[in-house]
Amino acid sequence: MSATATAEAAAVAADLERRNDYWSIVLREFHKNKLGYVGLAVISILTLVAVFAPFLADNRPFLLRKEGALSSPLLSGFTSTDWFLFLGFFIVAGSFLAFRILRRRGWDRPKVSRRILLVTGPLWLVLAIFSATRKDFIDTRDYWREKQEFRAGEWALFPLIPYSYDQQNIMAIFVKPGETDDRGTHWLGTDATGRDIMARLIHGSRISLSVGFVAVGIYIFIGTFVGALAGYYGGWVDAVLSRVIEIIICFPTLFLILTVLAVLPQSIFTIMAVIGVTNWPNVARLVRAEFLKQKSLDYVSAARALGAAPRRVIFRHILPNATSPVFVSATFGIAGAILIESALSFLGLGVPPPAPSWGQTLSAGRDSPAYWWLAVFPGAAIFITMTSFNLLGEALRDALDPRLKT
Amino acid sequence: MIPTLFGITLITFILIYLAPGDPTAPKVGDPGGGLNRAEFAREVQEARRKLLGLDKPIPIQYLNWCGRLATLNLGESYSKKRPVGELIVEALANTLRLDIFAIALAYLIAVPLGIYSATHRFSVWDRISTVVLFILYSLPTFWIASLAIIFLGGGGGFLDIFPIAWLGCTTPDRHPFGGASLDWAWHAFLPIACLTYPVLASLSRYSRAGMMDVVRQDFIRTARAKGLSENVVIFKHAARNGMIPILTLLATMLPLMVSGSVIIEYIFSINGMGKLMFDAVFERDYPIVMAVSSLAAIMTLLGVLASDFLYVLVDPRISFEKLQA
Repeated sequence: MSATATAEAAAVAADLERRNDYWSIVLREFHKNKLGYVGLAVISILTLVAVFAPFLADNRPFLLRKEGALSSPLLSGFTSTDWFLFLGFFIVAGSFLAFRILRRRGWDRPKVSRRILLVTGPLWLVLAIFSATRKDFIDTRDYWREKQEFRAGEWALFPLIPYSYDQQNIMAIFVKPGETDDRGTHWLGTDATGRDIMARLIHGSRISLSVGFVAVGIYIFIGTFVGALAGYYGGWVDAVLSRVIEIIICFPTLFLILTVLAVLPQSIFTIMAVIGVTNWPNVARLVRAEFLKQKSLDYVSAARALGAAPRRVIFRHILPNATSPVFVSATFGIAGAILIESALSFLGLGVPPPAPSWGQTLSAGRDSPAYWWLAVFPGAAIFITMTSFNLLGEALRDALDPRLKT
Repeated sequence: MIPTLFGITLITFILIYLAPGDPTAPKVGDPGGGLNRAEFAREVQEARRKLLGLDKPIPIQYLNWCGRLATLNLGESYSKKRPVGELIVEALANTLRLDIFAIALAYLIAVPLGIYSATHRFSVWDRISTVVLFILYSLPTFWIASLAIIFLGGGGGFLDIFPIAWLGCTTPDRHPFGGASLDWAWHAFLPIACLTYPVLASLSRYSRAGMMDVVRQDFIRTARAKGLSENVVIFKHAARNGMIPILTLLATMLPLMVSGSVIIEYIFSINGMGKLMFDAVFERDYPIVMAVSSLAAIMTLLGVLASDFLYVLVDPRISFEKLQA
């Protein structure tokens, strides 16, 4: 009896403690905003679609039983990108799950983070080496035709949309949305070479999201680093870095990107790098301002008085308190990066074909305006994605800093 | 200011210096007369280097370029074989006309909208306008422009109301709207609409927030308390202060718009700054790329400076000393 009572009391105490730490308050604020949840839900669905794109739209069967043998042409035809996203997703999901479980057990945050990093770090390394060294196997078999000649006992299980994003079909050029050809229904129609728009949009979500996340990751990293240095050290370091920030901000972003793209070769990594390298000054400004504000607070003096090295003060003490504006800016930044990527692809300067970028499909719609579905659907995909990130950004801003609420 | 200017020119110079391709690489046929072909090619290349000033050390080349930029001697376009300055003046005229209309329109809508939203907070119309503006904020311009071409420009076989390319044509009398200026307006309608709405979406946020900030303040309560009519309180006392933030945005807006017009000018085939830059990037026409990007950056810099001046001008509480701090 008394044992359960103390356990209950401990649970209540833990509960109270949990509810009053910073992130719980933020979460509670976030809960109030239904629109933020809508944004988060759409982003989660998009992420799942991007990771599992081959399972949703591909012209290879997921399971095939032929001549008495069971095989999975889809899995054996996975490219290194497919594997990277697929396994990477499980590592990320596993880390989150482990984090929650270990936190529930009462471990403190740094310990949990260290432990998870220790386990996932090597996993990432192995995954990176695996996908970098792997040779892609190009499968040219036409499984759909084979299916027509199946004997008894043979069967194939195709993904929901039995088309791949780059499979051309001259018998099905500019098929209207919802119309059927010999293989099935093209829910969103086809383009000038008979490629299914739905499949292209599903696979295009990979490009948009990865450019969004990686580009923003790059510029948050650079911006935080530069901003922290400028804000913490002040003096001539600040003077020089602030000048650099000012100079880069003066170049209109799209002009700067176009100029850089004139010099560099076309690839998805160039786009990520260019967006990342041209957008960091805004983050640097935010972090610098936050550092200037925090620098004079007592806890920083205390840390210094205890003999902490500048590196420790910057990254362990001040930075965790300066992240909230960066979080908000990153969320809006992803929407911005996705917009820039699709705009560049629209202009023909983005990810090179046949990669199925949304902007590229949209530009095909602009070039042959008689086929409205080529422009309507990819644009809607961009719009929905951007709206979700903007909604999430607004909700995060309101939750992280209620003073900014308008 | 001066170091920033120096940095802008330096970055542009370095970028173009790193660009691939050598403008002096000659295409030399057999010179005949017993001359060695490779030897001849080398001689020609050296002569051209000397002619273009590329034989000098890089810092000297940079200073020479800065000198030419300062005297507005921007060189000649590789692909169009015309002076870059001339091309820019032509393009800027088109871009500026569109942008000025778009900005004016955006302000004309954003200011009353902001005042209304702030004075009727959480009313039905405030909510509706907030939602609509939020949607406008996330709508990609190139999507809307493409949809306009398809559904309003006759491209998709739906409505055919607006022309979808160029700003007017050589024979305006043959079109439904006789007269050059009406014809221009007809052609410019879609581009201006597409340029206006994103500016409107971001401006109205600032105008609403600015007004909301002011309406809460003590001097507004004082104004009401001393019996002024609501109109005087809102339009004379509140609006003047609430609009300071978006007034100062004006200066930075124009250079931003000039670069934002890349997409719209590309879609509607308008010969403006954006399209000039875009084509130059595609054709590796470095004199244009260099001139346009450094000019755009310098314009932004001047815009920031002008917005500081505007701040001090409209708000006596702010002084240059305070801005420096």
